Amino acid sequence: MTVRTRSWCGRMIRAATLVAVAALIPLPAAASDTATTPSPPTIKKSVEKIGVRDAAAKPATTAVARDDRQGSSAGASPGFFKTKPGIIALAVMGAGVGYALYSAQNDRIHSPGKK
Amino acid sequence: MNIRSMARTIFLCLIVCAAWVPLAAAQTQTGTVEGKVIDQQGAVLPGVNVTLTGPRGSQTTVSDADGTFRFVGVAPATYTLKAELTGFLSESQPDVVVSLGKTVTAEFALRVGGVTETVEVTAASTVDVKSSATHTNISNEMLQLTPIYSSTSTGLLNYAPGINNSSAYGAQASYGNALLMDGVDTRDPQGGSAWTFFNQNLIEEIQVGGLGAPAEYGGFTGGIINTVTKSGGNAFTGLFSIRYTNDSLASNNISESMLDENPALGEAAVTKKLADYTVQMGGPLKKDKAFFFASIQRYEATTDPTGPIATSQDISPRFNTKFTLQPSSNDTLVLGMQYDSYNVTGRQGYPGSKSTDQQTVTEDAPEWVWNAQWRKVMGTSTFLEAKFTGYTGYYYLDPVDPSPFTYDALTDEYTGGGGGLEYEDRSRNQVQASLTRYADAFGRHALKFGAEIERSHVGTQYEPYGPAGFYIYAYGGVPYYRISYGYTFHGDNKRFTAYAQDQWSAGRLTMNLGLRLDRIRGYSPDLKKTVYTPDLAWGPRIGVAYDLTGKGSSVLRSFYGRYYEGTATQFWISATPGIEDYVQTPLNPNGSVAGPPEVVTPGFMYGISDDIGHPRTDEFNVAWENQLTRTGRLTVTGIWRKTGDFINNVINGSQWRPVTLTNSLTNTTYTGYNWANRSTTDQDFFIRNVEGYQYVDTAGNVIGTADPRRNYKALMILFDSAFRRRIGYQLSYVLAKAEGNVDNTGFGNWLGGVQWGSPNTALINSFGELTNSRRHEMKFNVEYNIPKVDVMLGGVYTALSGRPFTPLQRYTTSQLNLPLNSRKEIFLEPRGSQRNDFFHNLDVRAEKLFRVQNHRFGVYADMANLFNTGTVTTRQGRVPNTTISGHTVLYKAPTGVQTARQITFGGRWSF
Repeated sequence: MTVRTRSWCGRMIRAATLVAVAALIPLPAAASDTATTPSPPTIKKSVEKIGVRDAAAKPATTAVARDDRQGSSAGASPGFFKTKPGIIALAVMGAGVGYALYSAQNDRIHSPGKK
Repeated sequence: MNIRSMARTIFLCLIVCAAWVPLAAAQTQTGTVEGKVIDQQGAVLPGVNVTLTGPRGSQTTVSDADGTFRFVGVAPATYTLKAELTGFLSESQPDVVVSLGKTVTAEFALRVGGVTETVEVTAASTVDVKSSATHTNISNEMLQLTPIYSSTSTGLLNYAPGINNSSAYGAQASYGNALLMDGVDTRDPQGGSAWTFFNQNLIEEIQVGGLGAPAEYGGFTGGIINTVTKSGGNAFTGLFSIRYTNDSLASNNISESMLDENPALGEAAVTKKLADYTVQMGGPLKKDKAFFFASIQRYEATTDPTGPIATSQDISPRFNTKFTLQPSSNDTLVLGMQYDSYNVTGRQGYPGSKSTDQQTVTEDAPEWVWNAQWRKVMGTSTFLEAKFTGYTGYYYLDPVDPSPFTYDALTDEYTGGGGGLEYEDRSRNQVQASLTRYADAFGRHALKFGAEIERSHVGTQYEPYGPAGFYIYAYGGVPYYRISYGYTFHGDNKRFTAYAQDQWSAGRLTMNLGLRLDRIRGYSPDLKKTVYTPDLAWGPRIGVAYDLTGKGSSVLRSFYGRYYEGTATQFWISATPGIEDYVQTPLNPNGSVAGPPEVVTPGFMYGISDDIGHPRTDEFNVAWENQLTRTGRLTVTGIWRKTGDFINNVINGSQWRPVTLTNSLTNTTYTGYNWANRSTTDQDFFIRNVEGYQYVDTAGNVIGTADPRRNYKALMILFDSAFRRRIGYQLSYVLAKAEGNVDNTGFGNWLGGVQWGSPNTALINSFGELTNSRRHEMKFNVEYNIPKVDVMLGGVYTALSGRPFTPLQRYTTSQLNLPLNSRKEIFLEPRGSQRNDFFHNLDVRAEKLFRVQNHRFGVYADMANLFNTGTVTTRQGRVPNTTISGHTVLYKAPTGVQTARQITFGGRWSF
């Protein structure tokens, strides 16, 4: 059997790796942002300018869920657990958790190898 | 940035990756939404507010000077996309489905009008015209509405086209697939099979890939199953589900003629009792900022498997929690944890399918799985992902009857005890990081760079003959030997991966270029040495995608790539200490000891080559994907795969003497080989890439040369439509062939076995169609909601060519001069010359729904194998016969039959 055990080599590789990882991650950051190119001619230049101005007046990132199609439901209320369905859900959840915990203790097979 | 500096950046990155000999992958857990805003005259509109609203709030960006916008790092879910600009009617696109690693392209054409009005328009295209990868999604709807159930990744894989018996696109079934759950590699680091079990109700989405996979994916030669689990959102959600069945709801599909051929079939495998419930809830801890999700399952299944075992039981409680934190709109932190314990009684012991209840083992198998992820979006052009994932667990098998068993070589029967003792410990830790950067230079680039480190541990203690450490070898009822054997191994996999990829789009054309480098090492804690040192694995990925219409609805793709297997101690563990002597002690006919023990095969370490290549697969595919309906797409894919650098053991210096053997199938003779110098070379097993190894006779003349191969070609046609309004479906047909001389079933068929150690198994009739070669495959899954009565119907239909098999004959130790414990079967016909029956199966579900506000209640019945067909799935391949449970079973007699009809009832409440 042939085994390669050049420990110094391993250390070198690990060191080189560390340097490489450190070097690698910032590299793509060196790539430029989306290039700023002149806007193609449009027929609504004036409207655009208004739009750009209006948009600039708004925060770039907001968390206002104006369309709450996915973001809300009857269960979205902070007081959900005070409602009847919320209480029932909690009760079912509690019963399910309780029995699963009981099972985890009582149905567990304990190998003699772990004793 | 000009193209030169761009090219230099990419080149430098690749060089750095290469120089630093690596391993790893940071598989994407998110997707991208991008698009363009124009007006009705087609002019671009900058400055448009574009909002993406999903289950965990909204994010907004502004279209740039080109009218384009992009959301990166978007978690898979269904979103609403909305564009707003003063002076224009707002437009909204609902049902924007974001999938793993996919780019959804959307376009808005705003009309002049009041901003307070909103127009709903058709959702974005379902076709990713930039990717070179071909995926199949198993949606949450499909999992919930059809009678699909599996608690392992590999089980779910089989619902995708081109994948059967866990063999994906012709690859090895037990370890060829990457099994990822929320980015956690859930494979056993010993052999690569599924290690962790999960609750299917946890799944948000499954993506099955592996065709045209980008460089971020590695560690597979078959398929990739990328599973995303549910998370909490701004709305409280819950699921309370229960399933139940018992043996009174089961049918029997074993015919009298089958029983005549093989009485050991007895009755069909029956689920005597299944009681499975899940309770889960998710919701906000703080709106838009912090969310929780918790799921608890208790799974109990008692079965009567085919064969002598009467009862097998599995009880598994499973606990999952996940916290999702969004400290800012650009940061997402995910912390997940799973604990489960797998408690089994009635598992097969050493005699395998011949085990009786007395020869079974119990299994104690708890595990912890963890997952910490941080995703950071920097502006609209940069996205960082970092993960720490892993698991630790064990399974310990103990025999119910610790007394030694007796094996009768004449009848091939086992009596007495027989449950082996096996203690397996595992752990796996992985750290991954990746950076995605969008940039412009001669087109648009989506650059991704990543690195990954894996450390996984295997501990194995195996006493196959039970705690006594030995069994009795008898012939015709007369004891001859007491035989003892066992082993204890420890091994660590060490992997470092780096990759770089670029999705470079110019007009309608997109180039997907990538390179993945894996540095894999196998370390022996016992030797304190690295014993497995394969060459650096270079995995290039070159793909092209062309948007045929320019509207994002049709794409032509082509791809070449090289994939490498994941880590597995099985490749090299025999090159570490731990194998005990194989000892036989002669016995008198009355069972008393007749003489001193004799070491038949000393425990020794195999040698291992230091010039070895990790197994790999080259893939070339061409695909056309076309959107046919709003949610439906047609995909046609041609696939060619070739696997190489197979690792196995040969016997250095072995010489083989030709002997005349009888083929009992044809009653003719042929030339086999007897190990002529076994006494001097029986410790010279050597692990290497076996290609080119020459088998020689006693005069040194070459008998033949090892030429291991596994090739796959297929034409795959898929038409799928996501569930919308009342119907969703997926229809596929695959014409395929997998052939070679390295089978694609379990690990042991080619690794750790002696296939390439002996010319009998390496050269004689070894080439042909492989076990998992399904010439024709059709799969149809459908979900349909009957209006007015509000009943959901779900169906899964599968039609498959039977699996090939090969007649074989077992010869004696003296004929071949092989050790007692080695394989002495030789194929009598070319591999895969016979084929099992064509297989049909239909499973259906009918569910009556009751809706109260946003609460949905359902009661359902699943009917597995609705028509109770009894297709023979496996046949006895040994010529002329073998003995199973005391019955003589002839060649070609059935040994496995399709699972009989079983009805399962279920109910659930979700909101």
